Amino acid sequence: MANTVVEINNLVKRYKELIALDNFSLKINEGEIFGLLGPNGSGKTTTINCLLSLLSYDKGEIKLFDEKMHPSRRDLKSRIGVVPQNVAVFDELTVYENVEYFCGLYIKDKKLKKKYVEEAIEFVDIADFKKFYPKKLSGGLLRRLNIACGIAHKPELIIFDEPTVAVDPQSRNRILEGIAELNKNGATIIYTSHYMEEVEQLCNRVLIMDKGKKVAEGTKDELKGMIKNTESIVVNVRRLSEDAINDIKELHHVYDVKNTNGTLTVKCSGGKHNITHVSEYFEKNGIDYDRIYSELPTLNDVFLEITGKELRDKE
Amino acid sequence: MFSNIFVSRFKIVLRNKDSILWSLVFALALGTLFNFAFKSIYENAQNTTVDVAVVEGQEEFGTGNMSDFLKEIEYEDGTKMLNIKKVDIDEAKKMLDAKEPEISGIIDLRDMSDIKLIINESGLKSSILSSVVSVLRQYSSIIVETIKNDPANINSVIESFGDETNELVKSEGLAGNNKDPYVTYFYNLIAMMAVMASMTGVGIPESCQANQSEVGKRVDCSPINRVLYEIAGLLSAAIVKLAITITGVCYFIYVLKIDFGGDIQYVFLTAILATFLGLSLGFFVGHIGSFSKKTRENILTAIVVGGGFLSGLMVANMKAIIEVNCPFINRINPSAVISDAFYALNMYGVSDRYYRSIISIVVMTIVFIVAGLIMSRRKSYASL
Repeated sequence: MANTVVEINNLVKRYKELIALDNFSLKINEGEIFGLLGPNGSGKTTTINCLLSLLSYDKGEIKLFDEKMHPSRRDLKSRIGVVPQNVAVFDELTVYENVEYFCGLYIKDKKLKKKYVEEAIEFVDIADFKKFYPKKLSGGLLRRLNIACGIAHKPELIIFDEPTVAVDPQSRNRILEGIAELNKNGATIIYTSHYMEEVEQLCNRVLIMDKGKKVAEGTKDELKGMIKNTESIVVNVRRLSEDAINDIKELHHVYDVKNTNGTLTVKCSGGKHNITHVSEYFEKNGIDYDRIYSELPTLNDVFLEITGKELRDKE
Repeated sequence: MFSNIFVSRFKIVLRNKDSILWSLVFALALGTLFNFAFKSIYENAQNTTVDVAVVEGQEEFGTGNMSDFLKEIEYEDGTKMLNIKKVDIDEAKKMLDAKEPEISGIIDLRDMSDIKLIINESGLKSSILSSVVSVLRQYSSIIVETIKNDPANINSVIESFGDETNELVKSEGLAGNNKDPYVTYFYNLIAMMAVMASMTGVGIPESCQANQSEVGKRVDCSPINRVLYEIAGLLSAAIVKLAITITGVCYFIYVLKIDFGGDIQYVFLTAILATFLGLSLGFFVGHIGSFSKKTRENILTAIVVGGGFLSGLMVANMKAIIEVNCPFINRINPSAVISDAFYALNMYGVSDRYYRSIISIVVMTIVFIVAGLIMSRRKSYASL
């Protein structure tokens, strides 16, 4: 059985009248990439800040590596790496100096520190910019520097707090690949985001939170299995009678049909190959359509079905 | 670990061009400006002969001798200090009011035990007269005594005052040495540079407190010993700020040729200790409460500007007003303590008063640093 790296039990955090975390619990095992998913203001960053003992909390318990975490636990802090949401580097230091500085807060040995700094810079692929000052870097490069500063000391647990916000797609992919590689090298990862695609791509296990509460937790498949919708069939059709819509509603596994602006969405529960039944109905009744395709549920669907709202604003 | 933080913090302070610009270039520019503005005024003042009406009393009280003595007072270059017009009091007042012929004041010698000076407006010439009269008043009792007991000897007595009087006139701020009135402006500038170091001091805790900056969050997550971190930051900032202050003082002494008197090493000592005090003040403010960076900087600006005002760095007699009405403020106001040290050095040299000021600076510095370090112990924040 894998060791528990993070354990949070019944955490309550209040900001005056606002309850930011409401009896929140989670458990993360060694070697996992654990996704903390939720809309803005759901309590993800508050959870991370409590975990790191940056924020005080009203109730509950936090354990890291099976030991109680509090602000003076330097031994535990030395095993953690943090990549904060906002870029946290010194403008007055170069790329190399920044990584060296933050690595030096953890590593005493000069030779080892130099090696780790070089490796971190190579890892995030910013070696060409070693002598650049942060102000001269693009947004994507800055994010990569931010990551290098958080991982250079080779921590066992790395916390990524929305590391891809405002990053171009190319840099985003590079960051995600890097995180997967860090995990392969043995680090346990906590990844917070409101981008469900990233979490789906990267994480072994996901916790969805909203309004400071756990909404659902499990592997991606487990989460998708929690909802009624197992498949959506989308048909681009020019004209469709009310009778035809009612007929489709009666098809096997179909529980909801919506027709808006020439797009028919047929929601099915149970089974993953309902597209055959729907296309057969169209062909039997001689109804022309432009395109038909199947969509499997996403974590957004999970979130939508459980909370009744979108995970994030439409972009 | 300490050296890593120290070296990096040193680079950060050194590369913060705004901070360097404000604390060094601004002070040097202002010093240069003062030098041009005040030095020329002062040099002109050195050779100014002041027209004054003298109202004599009865001869048996030696007022004639005193008038002659006034005529003889000279600057070091031999220029007469006073151009005397002997008139009666009514005529003198008319002259003063009508400014025809122009006189700067009236010295009334009718009562030697109460020598009076009448002036219409303040200014350099009035200051010269004021200084002369204050010297006369110091010696009037000796003159009166001599006239009473040994009137034949009055001339030799007055002559004996001659050289000494010239020295006293100098000491009243009229000519040379470390008592130049405009040197005070340079002392104030050094004090300002020292107090401005607080702006760097306030940034030291900022970089290791999660509630003050993003970098602070990152450092707060690390296992680094917070006290060690802050001491390294304080030392690196101190080196840069001391270099700035010393450069400023050297510029005043060796480039602008400002004469701070014979105790230059004490000027440096005071400047260095004052810089530590400025830095520690900022360091302390950087730790109090849970204010944002901006609010904290505003609080510090209020303390620096308000303290500067109350200590007389902006209005000359403010410190005296505070001393009369609420002396406690002068004891706890860093700007007042620094300016008092310079004032003591300027007026009394290395004296007990100077040492008291220096001890105050050192004690306040230690209190601010220790209080800051106590507040900097690891803690969680209620909100970030």
